[in-house]
Amino acid sequence: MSATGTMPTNPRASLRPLARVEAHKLIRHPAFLAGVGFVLVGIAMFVRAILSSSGSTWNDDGWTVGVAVAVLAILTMVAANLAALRDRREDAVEQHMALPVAQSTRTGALIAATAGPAMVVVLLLAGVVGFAISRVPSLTAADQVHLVERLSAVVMLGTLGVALAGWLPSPFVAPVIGWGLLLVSPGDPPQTWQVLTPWASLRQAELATWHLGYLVGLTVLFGVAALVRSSRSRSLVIAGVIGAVAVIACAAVLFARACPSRTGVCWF
Amino acid sequence: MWLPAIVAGVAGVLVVVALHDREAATPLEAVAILLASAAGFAFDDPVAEILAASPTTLRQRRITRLALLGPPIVLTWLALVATQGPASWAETWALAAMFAGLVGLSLSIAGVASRRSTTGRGGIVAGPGLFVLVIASTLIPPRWRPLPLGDVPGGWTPIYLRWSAAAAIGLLVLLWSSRDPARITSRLGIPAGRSTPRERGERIG
Repeated sequence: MSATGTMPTNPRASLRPLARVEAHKLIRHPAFLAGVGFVLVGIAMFVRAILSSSGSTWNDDGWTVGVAVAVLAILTMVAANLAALRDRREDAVEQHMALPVAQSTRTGALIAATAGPAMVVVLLLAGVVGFAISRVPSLTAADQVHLVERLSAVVMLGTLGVALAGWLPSPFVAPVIGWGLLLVSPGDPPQTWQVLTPWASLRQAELATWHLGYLVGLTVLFGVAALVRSSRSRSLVIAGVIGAVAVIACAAVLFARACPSRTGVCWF
Repeated sequence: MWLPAIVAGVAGVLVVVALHDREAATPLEAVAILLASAAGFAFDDPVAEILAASPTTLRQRRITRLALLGPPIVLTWLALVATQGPASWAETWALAAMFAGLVGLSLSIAGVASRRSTTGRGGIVAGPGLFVLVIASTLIPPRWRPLPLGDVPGGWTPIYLRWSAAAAIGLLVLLWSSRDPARITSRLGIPAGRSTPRERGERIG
């Protein structure tokens, strides 16, 4: 097929190999590798705490792993953003417009490529959780949801990085957003609105599950935002509506129940 | 070069407006990080490859670009510090040292990255590089933390010293990375950016 021919009839056929290539590039990106370094340090601190104290629990000492994965998620966003800005950086946007693969397919491949960093996080977390289960009392249901939340934050921020490249095409933006996400982390005591930050760790498993739903909804919205730059279809609109409904519903539940006004105590 | 600085300035104003009621350190630290990240784009030159062959050395070209971008960034920072109003002169000096340190590190990262990249665009590395350095610094206990955001044991003096040291190191790395790759350093007349045949292990003659 020539560059001037028609687009492939099945974009998914080209999406998969593209996503594979982009995933390999993402997990070898220096920013992502720096994030992996932070996770390894966080894991080492957790393991040292467990080995040096008999009363350690995941709840007391596992925060080092959680914070490190949060930093990794931010660096994944930076790496995905730089990958999505590659065309622009190399002044090759117009050249790539002539490729037989549609821009929306290439954006979709970048979004799908965030599965690569997510797989690395799964491997790292599986190792440390396996060790934790063998040494400390088992993880609570809330702890387990928090781990899945951290994993979904990696995918969500990776997708946000791709969306940012489409709407605010400057490599300056993603690191600034990363700093902003750290700045709004829940403090002590937390404020009610901070339940909507990605790093709010709710102490009740049910509320943590609502927060997970909120993160998944945001991921869908960011994905739609990234794709809608180059493609407008009914399925995107439907996905956008589903994402928005999920985000609003979960946020409403979290706002209502995370910090009950009667007690003045927040569950995170 | 200008877009990041403008965005950083606007974002800095928003941060100071939004966090005006808080202690001065938090918003002004955020402003310093923003402006320092923007300063890293000072050396991003779309025509770097063309100008590389000009008689003006790399160091002179970088000084010219810094002379253009530096004053607006410093003036923005001074204006935002005056607006926020730190609690004391000691805090003001600590924030000044931190700003200098962050800018120095950002410029040094950008300088090294620009030199290594073929397109001469090191700004994309400055922001993430600064992020990684500052986060890595928080892994070190406060007593020894090289880039302290917030209080450390010993009061203001360690903060002045550590951030001033960061600024000095950043400046030295920047100067080192600004050596012109085309300068003549050997009697054979071979530019410094190239290795001699002997260094490449080739037989001469």
